[in-house]
Amino acid sequence: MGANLIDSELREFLERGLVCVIGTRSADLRPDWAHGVGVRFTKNRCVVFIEQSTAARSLINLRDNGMIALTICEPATHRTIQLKGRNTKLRELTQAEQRLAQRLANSARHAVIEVGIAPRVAAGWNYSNLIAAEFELTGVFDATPGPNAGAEVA
Amino acid sequence: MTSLRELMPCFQGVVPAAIVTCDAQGTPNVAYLSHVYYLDDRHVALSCQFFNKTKRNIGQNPYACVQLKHPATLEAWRLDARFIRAETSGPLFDEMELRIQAIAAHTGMKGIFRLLSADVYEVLDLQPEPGFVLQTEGDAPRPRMDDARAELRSLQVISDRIVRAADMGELLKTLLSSLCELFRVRHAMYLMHDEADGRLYAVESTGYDSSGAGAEVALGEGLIGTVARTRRLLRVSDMGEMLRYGRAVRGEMQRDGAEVTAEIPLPGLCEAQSQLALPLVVGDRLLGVLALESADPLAFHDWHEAYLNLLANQAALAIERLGERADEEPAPEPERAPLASRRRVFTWYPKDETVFCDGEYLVRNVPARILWKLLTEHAQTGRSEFGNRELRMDDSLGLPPYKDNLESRLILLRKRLDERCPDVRIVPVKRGRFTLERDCELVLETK
Repeated sequence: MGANLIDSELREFLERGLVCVIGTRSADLRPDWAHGVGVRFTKNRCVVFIEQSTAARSLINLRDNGMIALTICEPATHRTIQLKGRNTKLRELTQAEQRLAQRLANSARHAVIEVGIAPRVAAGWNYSNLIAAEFELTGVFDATPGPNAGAEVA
Repeated sequence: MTSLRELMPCFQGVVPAAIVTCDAQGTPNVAYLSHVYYLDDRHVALSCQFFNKTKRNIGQNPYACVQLKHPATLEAWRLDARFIRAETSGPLFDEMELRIQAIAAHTGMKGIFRLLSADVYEVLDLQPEPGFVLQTEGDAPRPRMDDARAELRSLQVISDRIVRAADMGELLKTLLSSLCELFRVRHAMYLMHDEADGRLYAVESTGYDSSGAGAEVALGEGLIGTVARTRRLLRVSDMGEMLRYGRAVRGEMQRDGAEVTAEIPLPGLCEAQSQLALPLVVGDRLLGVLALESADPLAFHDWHEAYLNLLANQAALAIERLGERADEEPAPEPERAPLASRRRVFTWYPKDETVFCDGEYLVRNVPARILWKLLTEHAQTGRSEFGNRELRMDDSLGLPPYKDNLESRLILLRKRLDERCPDVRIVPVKRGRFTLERDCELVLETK
């Protein structure tokens, strides 16, 4: 599926810079998480930025099989959207992406400060060593807690 | 591997945990968990409220990876686990369900938002992720992971005070002030359970702007009502997060066509971030609920639960004992003070069983009937001293024949008068006796 199927409201939500958790799995189907910030959509691809210092296993997984899932969550409302993808390619961030990623990271820090995390603690949230994960989007799902979690939204 | 026990603050549900699973075809899935529950050093239980993708994936591939975060420092841990079993009844299920029930009761989803299963996982590995947060300049000292100090001396002091209390008023005051002192919280309240109508009535409180005496909570309503109904202690850390989660589920349920009801306002502190509520039970009787509140989301720890349970048991026995105390014989009538020129109009509404003072609601139900009896007798005969025994023998008051909570009802009445009409007072003179004092002219009317 293409990113063009995501409506403008949803796209604004996803690209705002909120809390992002990335899911991957190994060759023997052992799951793993990584910490990221994102996302940005291009015509047929989607990119998320992964903090490498806590992602050793997930980076191996992504290089091995390219399967990725990630949630974007707004802590104040628990509204959560999950993206799923395949054929993930890892690469360095461009300079423009470096600047973008830091903006998104700051926005994510503000989102957790809004729900009571101390600004000093949020400032320490590490996004200093990012790698770009570009993937082919295969599905967009509502992941807000409740009976509709898992429903496809685009 | 890090010991699970060292991560106790992460199990309070303050910062949502994330779980990654993967289906048989190799598609990963990320979801948030409302509660990761510590079972022992090798096992955790995860709450399952909906048949979702995580549940389906685990059925195909039992491995999961959980992201746990410390609520104060945001430090993260990677927990590798393998699903063992889903429990749908028993002590673990009941324990986890209590929290879900409290969220549901508070956010108007009683009966429709519930725990489906407590999913037990074996922990295969647990590793800290030191790169998740960077130490910032001037970092405050990190909180200790498990502050399980034994404050036996304080416990002993409170226990002594409770046991020696001479009357119900002293007992409740002592209990609440001592708890606040011991647990370094500023707000506590005691709600009496009225077995006649099944509701809870706030009787005594400390730390609040107003006493809240007479505030009512129905069984099963909100956090306190849930504790009363289930008769089990409930600790909620970071109420804000709990309510945000509950509201998110509520919104989704409404979208799904479920009939939800209005959110229940929390009694007490509007900015409360953590609450610990304990049922006071003797035998099969619920006497009341003790509630402690704090604006600190991490005010209460595991050890508080154990300590408070001990104290609650002692307090319950003491309340029971004082409730059964024999009433004293009447003493000679004290001299009446000269009356001031003020007038207070008391209105009795028999249909609603309420008493209003100067057009404003004062009290209802049994305390209202008691007050009306005292006022009318005083107006007709000039009598001002009364005894608990005569109240107990007066069938028109509707006191239960057994375990009538009379002392607590009188405290409630005393506090309501104190707040709304200080010109009329109920003053204990000796055990089981009190006087009706007034500094005003009384006008009584029935509507």
